[in-house]
Amino acid sequence: MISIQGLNKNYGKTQALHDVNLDLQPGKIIGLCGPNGSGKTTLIKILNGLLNDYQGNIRIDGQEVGAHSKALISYLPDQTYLAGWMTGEKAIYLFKDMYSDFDESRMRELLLKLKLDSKQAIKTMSKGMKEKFQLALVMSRKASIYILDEPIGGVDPAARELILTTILENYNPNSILLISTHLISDIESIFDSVIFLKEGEVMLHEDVDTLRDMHGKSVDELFREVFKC
Amino acid sequence: MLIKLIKHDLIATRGEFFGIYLGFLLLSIVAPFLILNGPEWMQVLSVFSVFGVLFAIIIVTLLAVIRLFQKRLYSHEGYLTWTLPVSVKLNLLSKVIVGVIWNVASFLVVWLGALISSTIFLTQLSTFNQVIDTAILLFIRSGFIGKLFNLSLVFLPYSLVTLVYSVVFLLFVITFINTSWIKKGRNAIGIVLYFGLSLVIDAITTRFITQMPININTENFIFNPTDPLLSAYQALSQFNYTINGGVVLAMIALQVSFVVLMTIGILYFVEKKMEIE
Repeated sequence: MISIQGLNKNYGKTQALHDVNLDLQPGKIIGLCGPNGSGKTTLIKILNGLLNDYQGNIRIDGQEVGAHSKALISYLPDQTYLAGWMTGEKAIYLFKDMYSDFDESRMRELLLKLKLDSKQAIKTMSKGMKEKFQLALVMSRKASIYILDEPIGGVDPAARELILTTILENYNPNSILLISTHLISDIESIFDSVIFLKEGEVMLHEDVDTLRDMHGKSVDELFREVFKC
Repeated sequence: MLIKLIKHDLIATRGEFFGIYLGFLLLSIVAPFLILNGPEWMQVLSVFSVFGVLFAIIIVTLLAVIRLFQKRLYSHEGYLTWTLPVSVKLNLLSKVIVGVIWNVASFLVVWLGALISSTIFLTQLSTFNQVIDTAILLFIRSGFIGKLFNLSLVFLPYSLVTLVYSVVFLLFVITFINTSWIKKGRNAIGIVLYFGLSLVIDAITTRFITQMPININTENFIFNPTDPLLSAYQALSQFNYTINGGVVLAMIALQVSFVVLMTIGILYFVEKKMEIE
């Protein structure tokens, strides 16, 4: 479904990604793990067509990153992408209009569950509310690929559980769910496999069960070992 | 999908225009009354206000188009814009069309305001009938309006191409400063690039276009100070021009060439060099 070959990305003289090769298949929840600055967001932005100056070959459902891949991917960035002037209703209208796989009734259910008011303007929402609102929009699509960039990065521990439950209850089980995080312990229980990125290189890409059997450690313990300062 | 994109871009930008359009149209209604009936200071203030708001419309239109490109394509909103399930070409095309639409809308609002003001002025004047008769004589019976209309029809395609060119030019500069080549001082580089490229394009244009596209014939006009109305009538009825069709076509062809080249550049920048921070 997602095939990445020989991916390199530089920011000036800084190498953000180095010879990344990955093959991701549907039906799995994949953790993209690495410390800050390891290249997680860069990789995600490339997959979503937001960074186009790179070397390497990327195929999503057999095609280059473009209108087709964007129709398949439901993407949650690590920052607010809705305009401040919008109300929640206007954002819902936009998603309903632009994405054929957007399920409005699911969105309404999620708004109730997350205690969000769709009539509220985005600019008057708190950071946590914006994040939850965007998550609701993203998870209301019946997408083939979900890419969530640090979905629990900026929220308190209580909200993390709610966000994880929202993700698990609403994603399409036949899809790829790629979640980037550096907060492994909070989220490792839901991963089927993990990718460890360190300084732009893939250190490890393995099923979680295999990892636990091989190393006798949790993913979090292994992460701390690999990324020890 | 293009229609949907245009619709959402118009919804996103309309807030920047409605206030100033409404303000200008209200001022177009109020200003003539104040100028004709108010105290002197109010007359001066009204005239300045009209020109002030007129100037503001031009600035707001320019800034709104810049914001449309910079904010919706290359700021945090770009995360949404560029992940919509549409091609790069369609996304850019919708922005250009919306930029053109707002320019045309601003032009029409200014004309509507001028029309409202002049109508009020005329109806408020005690010599209203005399003014109307004079206007009919000068502009309609002289055939001046008809000639002017024909002239504007000839230049309409050129005006449209120029409008598209100016919008694409802005998009070209804004897209360039959001590529991986530019890391710092994007705004300053954008301003320098805009004026620098304008000079280059002007130099190229004057090299290719050496003749005037229109020649206005004023040889038969003799001004008679004892009867200025007759002089004006004669001048307007004798108003004549010849259009150099080859030059007009060359100007259009040159503008289209610039648009095509810049479009190729924009597509290259977006597809190969774009970096949204």
